[in-house]
Amino acid sequence: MRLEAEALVVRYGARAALAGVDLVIAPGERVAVLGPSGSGKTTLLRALHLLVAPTSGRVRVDDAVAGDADRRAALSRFGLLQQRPGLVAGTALANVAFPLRARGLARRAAEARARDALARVGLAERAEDDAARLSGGEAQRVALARAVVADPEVILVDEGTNQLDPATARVAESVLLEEARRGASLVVVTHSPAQARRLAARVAFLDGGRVVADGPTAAVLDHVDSPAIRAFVERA
Amino acid sequence: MIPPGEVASILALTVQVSAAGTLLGALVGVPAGLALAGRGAGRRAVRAAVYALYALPPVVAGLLVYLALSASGPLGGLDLLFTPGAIVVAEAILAAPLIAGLTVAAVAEVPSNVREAIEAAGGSRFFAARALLCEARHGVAAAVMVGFGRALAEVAAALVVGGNIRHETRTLGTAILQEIGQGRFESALVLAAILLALALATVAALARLARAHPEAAP
Repeated sequence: MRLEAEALVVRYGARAALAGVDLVIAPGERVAVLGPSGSGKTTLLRALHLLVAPTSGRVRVDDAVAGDADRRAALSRFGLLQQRPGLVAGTALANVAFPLRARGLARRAAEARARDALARVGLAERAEDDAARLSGGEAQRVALARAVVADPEVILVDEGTNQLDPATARVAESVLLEEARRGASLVVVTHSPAQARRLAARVAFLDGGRVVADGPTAAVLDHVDSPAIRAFVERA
Repeated sequence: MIPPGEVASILALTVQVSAAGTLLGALVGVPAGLALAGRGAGRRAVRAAVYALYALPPVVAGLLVYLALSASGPLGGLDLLFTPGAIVVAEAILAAPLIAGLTVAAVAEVPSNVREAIEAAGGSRFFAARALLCEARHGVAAAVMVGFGRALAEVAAALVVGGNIRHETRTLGTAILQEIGQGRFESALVLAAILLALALATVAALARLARAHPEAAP
């Protein structure tokens, strides 16, 4: 899937979370979105996922502007790993099967695929556990399984490994990289330049709701011209 | 005194019409609440209208239902006036706005990341609404209980559209009025105690739900 933000502006009241973003995500591309807190990273991710309507500008999916009618169909082509895993009521298995059920897959088939996805994140034995009783890290791994279970064309990650210990975060990253090898695009919002280097071939750096640098990961992070990026990399 | 058998039948009719009115109100109110729970100026305006209907005087609701169901009214052909069915319709009209408004509040209590995850999964609007309803189920159950409480306590609308006909449309509320009107206060007090017990049982069930699931408290 080709994803394009074109002169994208998103305002919350008087504040512009995005102040004119142009960004193209090519099919299969791995892009990290970096920037200081409040720079618009999460809003950009939500706008690319068609979850927030632009104040002006547009998001194109495969060169088409997703209207309201086909927006819901387009949504099912994405996988989303949120910063705080928004698990629904039910078991871990039901949560992972959720996107497949949303796409109309029968319960038995959806649950079979969901079990495979849970095994990928090391939670096969917790399938029948109530999602509300999982630890924060386990819940995040369930959310990761849910994000990849339907073989999405684009996986959007919003600081999705923050709640994981370093070893489990590496497992999560390896799952995301497997998805990229399958052909999925990755758009990863992160505070960590190190994670950006591991996951992304390209970095878009946001500051004040604008993309202030966009290029190969090493080029953006190692050959820093911008004081904002240098401060960010040094702080991290 | 009203014979015990007649009291039992009045009690049964009261519970039946209140339950049916609440069910009908919920069939309208819950989907309406789900639909009105999102953002947008249009939704805000409709929500304000729904909240205004909280204050709809029961006698006015009764009058409107009376006019609609009377022989010359648009629904006169249903032949419902002065039947329990007419009371059910009036109570549904009174309960539906409460249920819709409290359903909006229940959906607002669902954490934003859960709502976003449901939306992000795609699928039909029906699938998303069903998933959201499942998340807000305790609050919606509380909304329906509040609707039942309103239907149970209803007198004026039941009197206007039901007519307080003995053995047919006499509910606890209208029977109490009848007994007071005829100076039979002892009998009125017995009926009032039964109605109060029913109302307290509803409140107790609501309190129990709120204790088990604090987010459900209306």
